[in-house]
Amino acid sequence: MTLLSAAGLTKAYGGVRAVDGVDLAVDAGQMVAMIGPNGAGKSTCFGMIGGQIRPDAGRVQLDGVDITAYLPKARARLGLGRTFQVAQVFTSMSVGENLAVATRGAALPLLLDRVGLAGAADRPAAALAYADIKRLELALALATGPRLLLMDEPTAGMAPAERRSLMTLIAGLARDDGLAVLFTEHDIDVVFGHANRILVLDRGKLIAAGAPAAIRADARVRAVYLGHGDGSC
Amino acid sequence: MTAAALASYLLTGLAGASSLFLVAAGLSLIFGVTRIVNFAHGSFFMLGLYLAATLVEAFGRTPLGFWGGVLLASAAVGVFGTIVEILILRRLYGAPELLQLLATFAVVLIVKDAALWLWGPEDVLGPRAPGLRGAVVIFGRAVPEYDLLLIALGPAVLGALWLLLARTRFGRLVRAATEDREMASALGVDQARLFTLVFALGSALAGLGGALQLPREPASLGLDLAIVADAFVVVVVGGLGSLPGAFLAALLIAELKALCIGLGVSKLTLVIEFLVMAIVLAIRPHGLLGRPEAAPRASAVDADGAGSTPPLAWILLGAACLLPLVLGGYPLVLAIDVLILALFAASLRWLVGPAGLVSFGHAAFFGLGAYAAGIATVKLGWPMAASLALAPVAAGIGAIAFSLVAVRLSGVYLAMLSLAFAQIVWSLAFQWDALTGGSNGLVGVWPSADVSGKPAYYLLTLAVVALAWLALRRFERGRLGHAIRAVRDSPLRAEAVGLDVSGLRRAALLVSGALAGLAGGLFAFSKGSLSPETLSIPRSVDGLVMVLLGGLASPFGPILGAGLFTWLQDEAARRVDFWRALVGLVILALVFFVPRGLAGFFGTHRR
Repeated sequence: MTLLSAAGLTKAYGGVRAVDGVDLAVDAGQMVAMIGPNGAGKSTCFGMIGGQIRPDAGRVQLDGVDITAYLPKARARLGLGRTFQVAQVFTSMSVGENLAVATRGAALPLLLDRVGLAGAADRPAAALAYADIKRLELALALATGPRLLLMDEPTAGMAPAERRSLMTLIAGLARDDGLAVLFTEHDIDVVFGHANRILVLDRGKLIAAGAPAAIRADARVRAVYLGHGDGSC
Repeated sequence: MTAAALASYLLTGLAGASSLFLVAAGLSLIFGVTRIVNFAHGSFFMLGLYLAATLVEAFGRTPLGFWGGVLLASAAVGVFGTIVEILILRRLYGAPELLQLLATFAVVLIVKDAALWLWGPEDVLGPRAPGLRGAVVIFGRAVPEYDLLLIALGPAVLGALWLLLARTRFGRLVRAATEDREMASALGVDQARLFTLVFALGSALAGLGGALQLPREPASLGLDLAIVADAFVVVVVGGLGSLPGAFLAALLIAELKALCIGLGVSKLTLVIEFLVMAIVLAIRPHGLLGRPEAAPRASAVDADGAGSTPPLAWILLGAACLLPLVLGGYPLVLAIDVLILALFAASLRWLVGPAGLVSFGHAAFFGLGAYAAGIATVKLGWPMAASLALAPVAAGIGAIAFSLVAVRLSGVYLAMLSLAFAQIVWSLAFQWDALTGGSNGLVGVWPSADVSGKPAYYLLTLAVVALAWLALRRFERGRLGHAIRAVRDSPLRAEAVGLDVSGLRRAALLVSGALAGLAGGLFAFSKGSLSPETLSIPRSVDGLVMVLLGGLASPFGPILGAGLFTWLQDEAARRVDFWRALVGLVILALVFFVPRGLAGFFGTHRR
């Protein structure tokens, strides 16, 4: 079942088309990675899907509802949760207070347990290590009960072991709860290890979309992206 | 109105636009590079005008004497600005906005008292420009020659600044710093020198704007705040950091004002600025030619003083109840003042601290409450209880009106807008004679018979203030209070979890405004009379000083701050002639040495 679909997404900044006519779809229970070199338009794409950036053209649909003109808060209420490239949490509050703001009475201990922060409810957010701030942000994104999760660079700034455990956690959410996940990621191992489908962006345009194996074999992708080096870029 | 008359009003408007642009251009340049909103910019203008008057008098009223005096005055203000930058602002570039704003306001206070000392309280009238005393008949009306010169000067200065920015190395550095500060410093720009130069240039422009007003208006001590409020509006409407934007906005506002006067609705000039600002910002939140602000600097993170109300609070409250037994007369009057100001400061701390909305015009809400209570009592004959109940309602309505424009803004934009709002409310109180009594104010706002004695009124005030303070504390720690703090911490995250960011900011303003209004209502009955002073900008700043004195982190801070401030001011006003300058020095000392406030010092909050 298609949960998120976008058609013809376009955004230009002063004549430069950061995103140019991108179409994409994410199904429930699927993990879709969006990759591409720096400046390919990934964050702009995310901004338009999340509602932080208004597209010049194109449509975004969430579960059949056209949300192109919706504000972020309305998208949140329709079941869109997201994390940001630089983790956004409420730094002046404790972990528990953070979640109390985001949920409307959902089971707090369960949520904390899920993201691996069990027992941390009383710790001030400002005192958390960065990996734990990322976990808290994920808990905040999950607190509203989303059906679609947008994650911009979910593992940036984390140690390799932490990356794997976070992505395993997210994969579990997709598999068990039918959550649709769209994420950007620089770490190629993470991408090929966890994504069901991969979208490749280059200079604002979608140049390839498909299963990891197909993407790995795609000549254009190898040329513009993977060809840059050993895949660690 | 005939076409000819219209044209002549538009010409007058053009002359006004030029002087407005000169002031705003300097403010905008300084902000663009240093990210400091300079409240003292109006003071620089005022200083330019005073200096020009003295210098032209000394040089003789010849063309050389006049223009020499004007240019020298401008240069002198530039030098003064440089000194201010080196001594004060240079230490504050990394500090929270609130501290920067307060420091520049301290300069306002010091300059004002210096001008009072040097030139006395009377207005100083300047000579007319030699060689330009006449008038030219255009469209059948006499237009002063000097106005024509000003009309030409505005675009000329814009052109000169544009050349400077486009063609010189200095200009390129200024543009680089305006667009990307980190990048500019990474490229090896000597920031300290660049900042000083820009500040010198900006101050000199303000001084020039003032000096050029010499033939048009007398130098007076009230010019500083009036001018800086106007300049804020121009810069915000034009877009912070954009010179062409400032020019466009100056043109728009000056022409609309001239039109209002031409159409015989001069009262409208007071609100027209605010209306223009409201409309422009509603359509373009970053001004006509401005660009989106970079992410606002993180505000001073503070604890929320969670936990139960400590026993100390109850002991203090008990002691406060017994105070009338030991105090009488003047000390009791001071005690009433402290209570009222503590509530005012508490409402402001809530706004600036947990809600993260910096206001420089909080006196507007205090004054709205005070005047609402006063007008209901004096003009409508309402009983005291009803008048007092009206105070927070009226201020709350004012807060909602303000929030319609303000909630989409943050940081310095909001601070500037709040100052402009307060200046407009002040103008209304000052000029709407029929309702507010104008500059004479309202008299006869007496409390009802049962609380007319000082001890009884003290107890009433204590009860109202204590209840309001406790209610605010509950609110701050409740669900809505947390949501508002969440919006401050991260608007992006707050929106992404479905919070209504604008609505929450509006609620924060409403609560704060209503409580300030309640304090204003209590104030009206404690004094028995009201004057526009009640809601002047200095009162807003007093509030901020109390908050700063007490510290943002603790809800007890405002009480401590109000007490200390009232005591200091009372002592200073009795012993020193130039107490304003003294307050300025105290502010600077606070900003430099105890930026976290005294409550932080005593450790009455966690962390």
